[in-house]
Amino acid sequence: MFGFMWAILFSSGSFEPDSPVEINPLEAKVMARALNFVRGLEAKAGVVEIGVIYDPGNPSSEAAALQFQRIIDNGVVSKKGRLSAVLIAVDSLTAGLAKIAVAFVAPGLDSQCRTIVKGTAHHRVLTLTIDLDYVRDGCSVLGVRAQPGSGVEIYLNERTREAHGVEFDAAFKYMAKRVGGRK
Amino acid sequence: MKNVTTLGLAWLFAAFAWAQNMDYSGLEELFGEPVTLSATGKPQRLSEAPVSMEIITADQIQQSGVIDLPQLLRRYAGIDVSRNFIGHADVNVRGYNQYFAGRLLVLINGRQVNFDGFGFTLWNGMTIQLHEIKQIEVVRGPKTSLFGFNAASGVVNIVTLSPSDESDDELRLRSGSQSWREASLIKRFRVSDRTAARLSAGFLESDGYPREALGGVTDDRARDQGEINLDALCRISDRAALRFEAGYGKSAVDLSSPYAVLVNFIQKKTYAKLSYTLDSVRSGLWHVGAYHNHTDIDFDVKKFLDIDAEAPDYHSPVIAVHASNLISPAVNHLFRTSLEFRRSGSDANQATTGSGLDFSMEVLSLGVMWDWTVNERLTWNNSARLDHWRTIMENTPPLIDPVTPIAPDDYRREEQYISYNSSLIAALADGSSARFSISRGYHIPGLAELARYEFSGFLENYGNPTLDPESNWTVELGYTRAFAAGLVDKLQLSLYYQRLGDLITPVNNPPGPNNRLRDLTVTNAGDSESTGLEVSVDGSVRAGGLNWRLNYTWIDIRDQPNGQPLAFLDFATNQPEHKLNAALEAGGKSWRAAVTASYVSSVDFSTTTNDPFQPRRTMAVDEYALVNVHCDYRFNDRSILSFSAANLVDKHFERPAFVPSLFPTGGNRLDATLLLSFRRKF
Repeated sequence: MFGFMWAILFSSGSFEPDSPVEINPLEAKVMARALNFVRGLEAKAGVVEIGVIYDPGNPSSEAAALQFQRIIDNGVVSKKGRLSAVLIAVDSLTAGLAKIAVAFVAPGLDSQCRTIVKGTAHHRVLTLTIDLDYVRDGCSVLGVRAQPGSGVEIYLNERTREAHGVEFDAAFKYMAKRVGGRK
Repeated sequence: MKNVTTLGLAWLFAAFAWAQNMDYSGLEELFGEPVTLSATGKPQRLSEAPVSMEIITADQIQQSGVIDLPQLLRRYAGIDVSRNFIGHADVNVRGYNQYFAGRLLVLINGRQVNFDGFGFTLWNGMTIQLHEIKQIEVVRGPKTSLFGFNAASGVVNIVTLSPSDESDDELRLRSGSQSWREASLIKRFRVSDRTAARLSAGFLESDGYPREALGGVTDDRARDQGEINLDALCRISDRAALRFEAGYGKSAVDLSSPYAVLVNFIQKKTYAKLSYTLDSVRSGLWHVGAYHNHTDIDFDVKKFLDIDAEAPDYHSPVIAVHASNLISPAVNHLFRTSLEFRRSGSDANQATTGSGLDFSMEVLSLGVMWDWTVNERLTWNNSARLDHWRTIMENTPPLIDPVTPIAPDDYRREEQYISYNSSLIAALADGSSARFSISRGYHIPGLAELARYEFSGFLENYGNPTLDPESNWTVELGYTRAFAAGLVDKLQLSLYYQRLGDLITPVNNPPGPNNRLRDLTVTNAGDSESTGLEVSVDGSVRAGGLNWRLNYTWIDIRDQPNGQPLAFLDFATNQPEHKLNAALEAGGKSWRAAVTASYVSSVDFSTTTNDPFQPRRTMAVDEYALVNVHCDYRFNDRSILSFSAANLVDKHFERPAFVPSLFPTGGNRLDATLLLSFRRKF
């Protein structure tokens, strides 16, 4: 009994191990809907371009990136506009991030976390992921996990958000699971 | 210092609008479930709300085919509805339902619709149409610490569609038994990219149920109402919005008022509300709002009493100003502060005496809420509110022979009460959560309960300014589990203990050796405690488009009267102990059908009446069952034909309606209502 209460009171980690999760179309849709609550994000000619950051040297990362790109290019829309995905190799971030405001961080980039944060923060890019540990570790601003029939989880790293200069509507912010205290 | 002053002024003039300007539709679509502000004051998903609550969605309302909101609310656990006429039902949460039940706060977009004069809600006297409701949020248990002193047993917050929501214009026509005639129209206007408005209007006329037991009293025009409503929203910038709402409604419904007096209750209601919301990056969400309700009440007693009787008419203006701020100074902490001032008045014209009373109440409230996300599994939400109220009497009623002494100074009171809620919610595993909460709320008496005066020959009918507010202390355990796949989607369970203090009941004190004039007044008759259980299960068979819901409510009430003679406290016997609701819905491409059934256990109903010969009436009300059917046929995306049938199977009493006479009479049996409706979207 006490062990159970202790576990609830003092657990600080996640519920379950964040094993690599296959990207499903619902997660892409939820990300698109989350963009509706981003302040100052404007579509260009009705299109919101999303960079897909991946590691070309890691086949699983590349596969995930291509899968995400396919889902997006099959037609995902937000109120801001139609989404379009463009691949950005992690070793050419500077050039790739120059013209975009939103980027998806594909799985398999754990070791390049610092590089990604440095680049995306510099360009004030909102980063999205499906790997919730990326959000907890500050590698990504926003994390989404959604499976049909089992609810939607949205994680927001406040410290990374501030570093990237991204603003959300307050209601969205207060409803997300927030991690990473302010600087 | 200047910044502090500026912030303070901004706060003072900041409001309430938050409740109505949040993007409910967008957030619901994002999280895949309804969202609410009514649980704690912070935006929340239903599954994470640390209270026992229901959110009835627009689709559920549309597909219910109900004749009014009480008929819909009774389908959910813990909600008590008693109807004895077609146009009115008394509603309360977790027992303690009575004529003019006033322990449940009812709001439309955060604006109170309870009539302060008598402290009750005329459900069919609102100014909005059923099909402009986005969702109905029902919170069970005291919520005074968030909403104010009327939320003693719970809250029903009706959220209408935002004028900026993308939805169609709609015309609805409905007709059927009881000479039912109804029409309503909703029309939207998009003035510019930033400004939109919605105009709605409707009328409804209906006769009542056959009244063989009411001595041949006519059932003509038992429900008669018309209303018009305007809702406009202007997004001043990406961060700020201004919303204006205004409406007028007139309704005349047959009902049983306190003392079991049968009347045709005529209400004219006008309101206007202006609110401003600012979403500031640095200082959080600011809200400023003000509204004015004006209600005129008249009683037509001649319909039920074949005598030339005149009842006083009441005029009750309410002005409320509210400001609130929601801010998160740290990732795991969210704070809400609010300040509210409201003044409600009651100006009664006494037809019999030619004199009038001018009585009002002012309430200044300060509320705070702290929400602490302890870790990913545990959240602790706390709120408290201080209500400081005072009453103002311009002219003291000329009491001749009150049952207990009342001094002029008794009408001028100044008191304060602190209410609170504290809830812990723990996520136990994927999809399930447990909840523990303690709360205390207050119900301040209605203005007419505190001060009214009517003298007619041998009778004095007056308010009691010495009444104490009713209190409700509740401790509750809750459990919710969502299931990812299978026949069952969701299980909700609440087990609670509540203790109500200083319950207010009517008194009919006959003349006697020490009492020249008969008294009709009210008093605090004692305390009552109860234990209850609410279980709800719902599920679906996705392949077949089949949905089902089942809920059960049990309550055991134990009264503790304080021994005052003629002040009866008998909730233990006159509230149903068991209630069961079931619903089954199925649909195809062009059709949808639903069957709902309810069972309510028997009670020994008793009430204080205004009858000089029988000040106390009792009557056994048998257990009863309700079966309702609703079918939609969709001709195309724009046109829907519907058939609704209510009260099938069992022609029954829910609550007796007594006619003053030497011989006890039964009441008004509720009969079936059959309606055909046509909806056309433009």
